[in-house]
Amino acid sequence: MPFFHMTRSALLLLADSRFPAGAYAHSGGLESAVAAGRVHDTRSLHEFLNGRLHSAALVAASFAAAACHCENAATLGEIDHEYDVRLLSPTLRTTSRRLGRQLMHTARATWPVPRLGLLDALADGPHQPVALGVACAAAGIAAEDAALCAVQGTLRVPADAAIKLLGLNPAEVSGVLAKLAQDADRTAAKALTMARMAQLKNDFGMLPALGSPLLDLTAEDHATWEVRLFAS
Amino acid sequence: MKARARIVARAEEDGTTSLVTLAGETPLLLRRAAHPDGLDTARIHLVGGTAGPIGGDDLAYRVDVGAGAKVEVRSMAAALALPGPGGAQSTLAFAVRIGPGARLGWAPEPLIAVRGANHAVHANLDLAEDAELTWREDVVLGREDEEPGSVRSRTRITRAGRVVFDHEFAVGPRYPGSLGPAGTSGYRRVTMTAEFAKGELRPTIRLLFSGADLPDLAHTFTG
Amino acid sequence: MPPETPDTRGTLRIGIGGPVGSGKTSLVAALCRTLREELSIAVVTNDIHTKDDAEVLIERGALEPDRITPVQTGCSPQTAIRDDIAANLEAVESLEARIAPLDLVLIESGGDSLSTTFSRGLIDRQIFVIDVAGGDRLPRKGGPAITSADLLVVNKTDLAPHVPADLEMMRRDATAQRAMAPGGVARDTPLPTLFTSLSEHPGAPAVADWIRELVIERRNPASA
Repeated sequence: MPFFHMTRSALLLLADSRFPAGAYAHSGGLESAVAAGRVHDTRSLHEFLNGRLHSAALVAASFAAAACHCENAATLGEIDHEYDVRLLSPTLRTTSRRLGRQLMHTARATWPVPRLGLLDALADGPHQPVALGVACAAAGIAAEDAALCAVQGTLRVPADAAIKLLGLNPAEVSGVLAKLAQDADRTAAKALTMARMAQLKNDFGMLPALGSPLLDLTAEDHATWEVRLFAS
Repeated sequence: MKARARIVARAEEDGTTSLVTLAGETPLLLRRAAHPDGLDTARIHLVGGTAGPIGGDDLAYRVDVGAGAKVEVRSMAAALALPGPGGAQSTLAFAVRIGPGARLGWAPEPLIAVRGANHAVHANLDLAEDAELTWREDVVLGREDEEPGSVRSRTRITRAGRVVFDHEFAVGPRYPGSLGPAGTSGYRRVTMTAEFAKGELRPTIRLLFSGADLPDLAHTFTG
Repeated sequence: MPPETPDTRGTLRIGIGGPVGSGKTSLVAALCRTLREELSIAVVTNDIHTKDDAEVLIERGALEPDRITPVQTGCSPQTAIRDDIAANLEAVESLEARIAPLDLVLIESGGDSLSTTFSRGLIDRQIFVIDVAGGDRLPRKGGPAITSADLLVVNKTDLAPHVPADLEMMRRDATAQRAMAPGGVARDTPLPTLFTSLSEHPGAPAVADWIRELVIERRNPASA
């Protein structure tokens, strides 16, 4: 099959945290935050997610949107490189590529179309947001929804981990995500605008670079733990 | 207010570094200092004093370190980022070029973002293939017992035209969640030093979170 | 499970599941030691202790460190082998790419209930390990793991007098549970069940034989 038609159902499929790309085994930095006592209840989880929304989620979403739009393998390589230089933590760089590889693996089985071949040149695998963008394109999902998907994923991963690690009432966690929904939409819209600008100017250095240095630091420590429930 | 500063350094035949241009408008005042790093290295002090940047200021440095030149920049005291009229943002821009075999070390005293401050830094640095760089950012979130101000700072470094580092942090009340568990999490001071040795495509990053009676949290990221 | 049609992949992938403490790690170590001269083996573990399982295998001289990959399951060991196999699959494929040739990959789950089975996308055959100390009524309880695992291993038979556990009853119950295919159709022969005591026979010879047959079958599909 050469391509998939645009459908809203495909977005729901890919955005579902049960989409089998291995993200459930990651905590998005939450396992470290819980161990340090920084996240311990629903309110502190909300603060954590809010922080991620305005940094990591914005960045991931803008890269996903840019990758979704891009039909050129060399340019995708450039976009991937731009993302790579934005991560302080070597561990998180490796993790991001692993998640990207896993996503590509599942995407190839789910939407077996030539579009996915654009990332073949990246031997270690594309970074996760780039993989997400191209997977969206393959699935017939528009760039604005690729951005939304990336935001959703950035929030869902730590939220799901919090349910497991803290035994938070799942409905309360849903409540937190519901409260963040408007800002999540706004973040995705902002990311889309930034991706469009970057594409227009053919300058992917314009994509945002907001980081959470504390989480980069704790990610390096987390990788050394002997008892570790989550992969990151 | 608007202020510009310009530094042009050149390696002389005898191996010393001369400062062809060392000019700055208040508050970006510059002074050549003695040579604690040896005669080959030019030492510059930022002597603008503690006041500033003030919200609304438009400040910019242009720094050109020519081939083989070596420059170290320090400041004498912590600077205060102050609020301006209507919460206007102050901006500080750096355009830095470091030539072949050259070196720049930029390590000022901390910037203290006082309550209500709204400051943005944007640094673009282009390094030649074998240039060296040490670039330090040190932000203190508010004076004692004071709500922090807001600072955002983006550093983008290219080597021989290709990007090798691009990182931005935004902290303070203007940035939702930035003071919480995914941000500075109660720490009052963030110090980040990026070091590029000759030819390296990944920097060594030294990161330190300190202050507020919390144990220091430090890490060195090596590429 | 009915045997798959042979594919071009050379490596045999076997999943080893079972409740925590039933002896999965001991079985993996036993198989590695017994078979390592004949077969090139690698192991993927889903234990929460990132070094524990690997250390056991290395300590017991069962396998070199670079042939063991730990995979974290984010508090969801059943998801990792069934609903979302991406991480385990990546680990398996990495090992297969790096260690060529590789005859056998053992994937040890993090700890399962009776309702847990491995995904066919991840493994070719699965072994479910229960132990006598878990109670002699366990086979009677059934569940997909007991009824459809390619091999059921009942470990720690040496503890039977102490539990106490009626091994004959367990054998009868297991055979009965494993005699029916889904849909209520009787199988020609019940799926196999082996009783072991890994403390008394640390080589797990019967299980090793079962694996040897599968490897031969894989190498010579025409003769299967």
